[in-house]
Amino acid sequence: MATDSPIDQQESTELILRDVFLRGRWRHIIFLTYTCDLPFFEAFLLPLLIQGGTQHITIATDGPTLAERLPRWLEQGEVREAGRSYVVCSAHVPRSFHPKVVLAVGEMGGAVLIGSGNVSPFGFSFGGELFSLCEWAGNDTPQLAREAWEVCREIARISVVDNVFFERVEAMGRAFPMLATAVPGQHLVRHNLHEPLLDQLVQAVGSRRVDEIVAWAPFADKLLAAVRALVNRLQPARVTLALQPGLTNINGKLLADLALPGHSDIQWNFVELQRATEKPSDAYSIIHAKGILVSLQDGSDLLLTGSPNLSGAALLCTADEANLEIAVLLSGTNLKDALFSGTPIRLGGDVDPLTMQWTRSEAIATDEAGAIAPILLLGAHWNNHMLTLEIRGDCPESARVVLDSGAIYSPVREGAQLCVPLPGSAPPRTVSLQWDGGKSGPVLVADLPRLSETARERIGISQLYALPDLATGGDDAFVALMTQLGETLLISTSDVVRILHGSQLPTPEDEAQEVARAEPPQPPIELGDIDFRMLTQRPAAQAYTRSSLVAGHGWNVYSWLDEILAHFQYLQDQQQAEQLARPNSEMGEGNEGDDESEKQPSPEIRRWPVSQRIRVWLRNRIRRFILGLHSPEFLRLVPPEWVVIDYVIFLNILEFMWTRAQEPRSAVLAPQAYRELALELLTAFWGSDEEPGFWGSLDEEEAYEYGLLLIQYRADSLTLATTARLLTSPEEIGRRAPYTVASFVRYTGQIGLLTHRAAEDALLYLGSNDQDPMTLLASVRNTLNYFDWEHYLSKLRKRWGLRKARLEDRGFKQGKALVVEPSEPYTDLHQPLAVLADCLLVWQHQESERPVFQMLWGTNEDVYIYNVEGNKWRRRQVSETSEQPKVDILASDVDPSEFAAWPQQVAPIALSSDST
Amino acid sequence: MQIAPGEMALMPRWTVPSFVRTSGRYPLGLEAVALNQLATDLAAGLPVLSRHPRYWSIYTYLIKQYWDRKRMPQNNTALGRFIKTREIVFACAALLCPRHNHKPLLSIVGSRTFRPWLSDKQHTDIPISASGPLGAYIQSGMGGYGQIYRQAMSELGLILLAEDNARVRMDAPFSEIGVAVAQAFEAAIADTVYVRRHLDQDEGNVPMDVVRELGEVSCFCQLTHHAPEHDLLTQVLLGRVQAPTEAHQQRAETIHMFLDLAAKTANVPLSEERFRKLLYYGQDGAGNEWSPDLAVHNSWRRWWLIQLRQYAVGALYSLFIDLVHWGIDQGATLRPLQFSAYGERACTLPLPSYLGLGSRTLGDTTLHELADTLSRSKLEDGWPSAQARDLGLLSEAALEVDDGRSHQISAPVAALMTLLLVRQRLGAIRLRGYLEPTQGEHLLHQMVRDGDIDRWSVATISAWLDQRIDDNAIAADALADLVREMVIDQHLRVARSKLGQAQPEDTFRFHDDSDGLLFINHHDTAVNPISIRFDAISEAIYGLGLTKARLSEEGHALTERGWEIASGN
Repeated sequence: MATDSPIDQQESTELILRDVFLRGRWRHIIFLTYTCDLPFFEAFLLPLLIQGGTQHITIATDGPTLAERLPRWLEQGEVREAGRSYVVCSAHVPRSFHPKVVLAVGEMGGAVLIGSGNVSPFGFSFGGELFSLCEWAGNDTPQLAREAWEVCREIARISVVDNVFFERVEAMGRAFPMLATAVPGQHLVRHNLHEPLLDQLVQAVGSRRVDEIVAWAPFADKLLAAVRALVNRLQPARVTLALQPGLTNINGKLLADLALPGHSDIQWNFVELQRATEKPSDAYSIIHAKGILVSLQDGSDLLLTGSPNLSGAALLCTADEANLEIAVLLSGTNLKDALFSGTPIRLGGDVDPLTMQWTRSEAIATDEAGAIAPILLLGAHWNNHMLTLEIRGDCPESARVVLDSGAIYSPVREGAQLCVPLPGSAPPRTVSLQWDGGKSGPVLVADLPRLSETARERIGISQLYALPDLATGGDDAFVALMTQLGETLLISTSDVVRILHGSQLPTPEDEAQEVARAEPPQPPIELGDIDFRMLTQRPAAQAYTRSSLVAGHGWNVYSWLDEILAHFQYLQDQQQAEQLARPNSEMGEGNEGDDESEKQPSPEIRRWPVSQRIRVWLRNRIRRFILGLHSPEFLRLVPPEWVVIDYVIFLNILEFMWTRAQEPRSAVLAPQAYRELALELLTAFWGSDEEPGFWGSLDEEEAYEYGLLLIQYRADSLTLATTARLLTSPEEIGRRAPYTVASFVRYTGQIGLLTHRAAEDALLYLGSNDQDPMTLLASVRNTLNYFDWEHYLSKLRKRWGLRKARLEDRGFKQGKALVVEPSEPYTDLHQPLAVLADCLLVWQHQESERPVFQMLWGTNEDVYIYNVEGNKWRRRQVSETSEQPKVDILASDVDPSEFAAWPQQVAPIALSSDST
Repeated sequence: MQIAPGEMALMPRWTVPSFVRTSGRYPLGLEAVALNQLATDLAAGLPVLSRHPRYWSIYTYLIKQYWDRKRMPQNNTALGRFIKTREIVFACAALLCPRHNHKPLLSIVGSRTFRPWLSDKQHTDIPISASGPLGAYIQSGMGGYGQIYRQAMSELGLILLAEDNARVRMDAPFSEIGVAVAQAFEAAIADTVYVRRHLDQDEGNVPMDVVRELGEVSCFCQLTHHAPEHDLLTQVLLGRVQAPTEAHQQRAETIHMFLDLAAKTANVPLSEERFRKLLYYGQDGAGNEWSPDLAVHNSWRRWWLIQLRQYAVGALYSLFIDLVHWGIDQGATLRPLQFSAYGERACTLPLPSYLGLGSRTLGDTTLHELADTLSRSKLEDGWPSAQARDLGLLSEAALEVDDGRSHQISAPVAALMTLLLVRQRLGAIRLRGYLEPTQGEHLLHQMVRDGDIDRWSVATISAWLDQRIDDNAIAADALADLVREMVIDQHLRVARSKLGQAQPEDTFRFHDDSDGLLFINHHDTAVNPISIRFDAISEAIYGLGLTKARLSEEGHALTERGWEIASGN
């Protein structure tokens, strides 16, 4: 199967249908279903689809079954959106339109489900359905999806559904051409549009000998025609029928006759199909799945599962004779174990077939043809004040169009269509046909202008992927969001360059290279040539204007900022809820009468694991922004406000990564990786003792202005929370963090950001709102006084290009001496004195009572001595000619602060020997 | 498992339920209407579980203390901890109050935990720490305040909730009134050792004697002996010191109605059930009567409408339970059952002989005939006549009790008759013009319409029946239609709405598929009616010293102060 980032679901044999729709981010979706409970669909699935951004929703369902229930639903007001924000097409075949398929696709990938369950609460509530599910990310559309689309198109082509369905299928193919790519060779998806399914199964078996057939379905035909044909044509050694006593609708008497000894050489087994977790208290309910498993004597298996029951209408006929069915045909080994061992459904003990009964129910629909009407109403749509009905068959002269209002019109016939001009502004909800001696069931009218309008509206509200999805989402959520962030944010010089070149978005590989090189990949542009006004008119730049939306989309960066605020509100509400809505343990009276809903324990948050590719991609994206913060060019090119907005967004992304880091299975960044990135980000933005950071480039007015932006989106609090985590980090991060935090404290202290409120909110992020906010503030403020020799000496080495700089005990009674090895031999006194002076500026602060400081320099270990009294500087060298060391007075009355600036100045040295 | 290369991911998987299955508390979702009317219109600030009015003082006082002592951090978590530690002391103080030795004081938050400790003679201290032996008396992070009283105190205008305060996310006494209540209570307990030495204490023990001494002034029974506090709380209850709102005014009218009830039934111990009958019929079927004073008629009518809806809702739940039992009995947990079978069953249901219609069934009687028969029995009891009448077999109360259990009448027939009675009463009221929005009774007009079609207002039910009567529908057909629309569709609507929640729940008692109804057995026997806050209101007026006893006790005549209030002073 072609999946460029397979979603790891095969570990589980269980499928929760709701979750598939919950994580779906699709643009088009098509359902093929026998029954469709439209009130359930509108109450449950439609909101999920809209939230997920689905613009075009199409359902094809069995026409007569829908017609029977539709009037009541409409009358009760239970169906409000059908024909308006999604399309419901009535499908007509001689018996039942019986497939169960969901095909969904969008820019980020798609999903296809082929199985046994209809769109109904029953299917979602009870389980016991069997579905093949394939989800994919990206454009590499898998075979199953392409075949499913092909089947939809074929259904549309043979006119069992109206032209609106055909258009929707075509539109899906046009929007996602990969879906419409032909599939060569044997198909996995099998249908009976042209050939009965049993024939196809027999062909797949070929000349191989069949060892066993295992079959299960809730319904069989009255005379067991399908079971007999299956056995006669495949001639298995054994047949196992899995049944549910009291539930499976099958003729037990005939079944027992089939199994009589002497009737054939076939060994018949009747076993119970049961739920593995069934407890006495559980509702005993039907297992609606259907399947035929053929085990061949060569050790291989064939499995046909999907919509067909064990009925003649499903297995022995084509769709122009009886039912329309869709299944998947798979081959493999040990499939019986895979289906029934360690799974929610298992094969149990023996069942007496005589206890089974056949009654008329769904089998009525599946096996008994209805009366053939001279005319079939396939569907209706409304456009440009014209109601158009699509029909099949000969339209009697007496045919009249009946609206749900009761109004009756004489239509104008145009080919296979009947047209009625309707001048009003609103179309009817349903329409039916009447003629002498007969009438059709009602069909829903597709309001084409309104459908287009709602699809357009959904672009705006739905295509924005939510930042908080990062806290729980899997690859698909990350791909979607990373792509949108990439389209929207300017985070490094290379982004700016790309805009000016009109280049495409960087791929994850481009971003990786950019981070590796730490250079923009594009040819350099003279920065002076850049017209900033033009830059701000580019689509991505418009994203930073609240009033503008990214071209072709319905969002801008403020959409995410608003989400960030909403998420903060959520945290607050959660805190309140935890405090106030705890279960009632006292007084024994519950919430009597005051609360109609019963409180349930909060279920565990389910997080989806993400692939390594996503982890690397995310790290690189964050690093690119950090590079941007370090890049003077980038900071010259974009307004500070944009940088601050980027910071707020990336800080929140890191926060979501921290929440996930606590759970190794779904962690995107390990805790240590989070800390490293967080420290890098904060250092680049707020500076440290070694660099000024972005904030240091702001003037006072800007600092106040953007400080307010930070407050507005709670980034002051989140930064504070992040600093608290960094300060308690182990090892290197914990040692480096205080310098960054101190810089943050200095800058924010200047503009009054470190408030009680900020600390209180920070504790909310930290999940420790029991703590006193003042304690948190005190701990970050303490970093201003933090000093660590190791860190300082490391800086000293870097600053002066030294090979070594350490404090060592060399026997001086005043304490340790600074021992220095320069990288290169020195030629004059400038460097050693400047290094000593540099060090003295902090050394004297640390050891304020010390009268004399010593430094050993170079391989000869010349000793430089600074005497506080009189600000005297001396050098003692081992003499090659004398046993006595040579001592030079280098300077007197020169403060160390003066020496610190030596490289730019003439050294205030008056060399003279000192005999003392 | 091995499967052919390329097909690995397609191996079909078994679905498991997408939702958590629960029975749900109110499967028709109809009681929300009355709950809302009680909470917002008739008894705001007096929730079902609230009891002693002095809790208002204690909590307001503690919250003010937290503020006054400049305790940090300023959030509700910390405030909750502060309150809980001290709630242990105040609860124990009340439980140690010697005035209740002969009859234990009820409805003290935490009493189940505290009583055994206090009765152990070896204990000489009260441990107050949250991690101590008494600390787990309640799970709520803000103690009884958070669990029962917080929202109510906000509605009374005593507390500014944290969520309404943009500056500090911590509850606060609401302006001068909140502060005044806190100060009034503070004055009552200021001289105790506990206040002087232990109020700041968050951990450790407080000596039992200190707590006992506190109880002598802080016990709930002492409210009536502390005039400033007692008067102030009464004013608060009556909405006289807050900024005027409709909710305060209506609560005050409710209090006046209860005072009228107390005065006229002083020697009869009342229960909620008896109150419902007195309210609705003017008598309880046991010889006790209540004819509300003209001055409280406005409030009485509103409460009467609450009970009218209760009977209608009870009837619909009775139909619901009956339907589910019938479906299960028919084996429809295994295979779907066509609803047409219910219609066939309805046709065979006999009418009770006392109607005087012979051995008729719903199948050979029109709804018009049935309604007419009920009408002829002249249901003049209750509003609008306000004159007590005998409670015969033909009353909502009697039908509710019977409900298929006496074998004289099946549950569906009892429910249908109840709904027809409700319709007739509503018709009588409407005829007299009480439900016209122009008559200054906009609330009555609104109350009968509350719920509309989604929650079946009594006006909608009545109109639905009117339509079937006008159509001369067969009673069995009407019953089947009614069950279809008001029970099946209503339940499905409510159950579906639970699927749209963030944590969806499967509360379906049946599914309606193309093959019919498929039932799920949750072993339902009945759906309990909601409490209409009788105990909460009764306790409030007693706690404030307006009656001499609780309404549930004999001798609950009005006190002098009660008479003053009742007469408008």
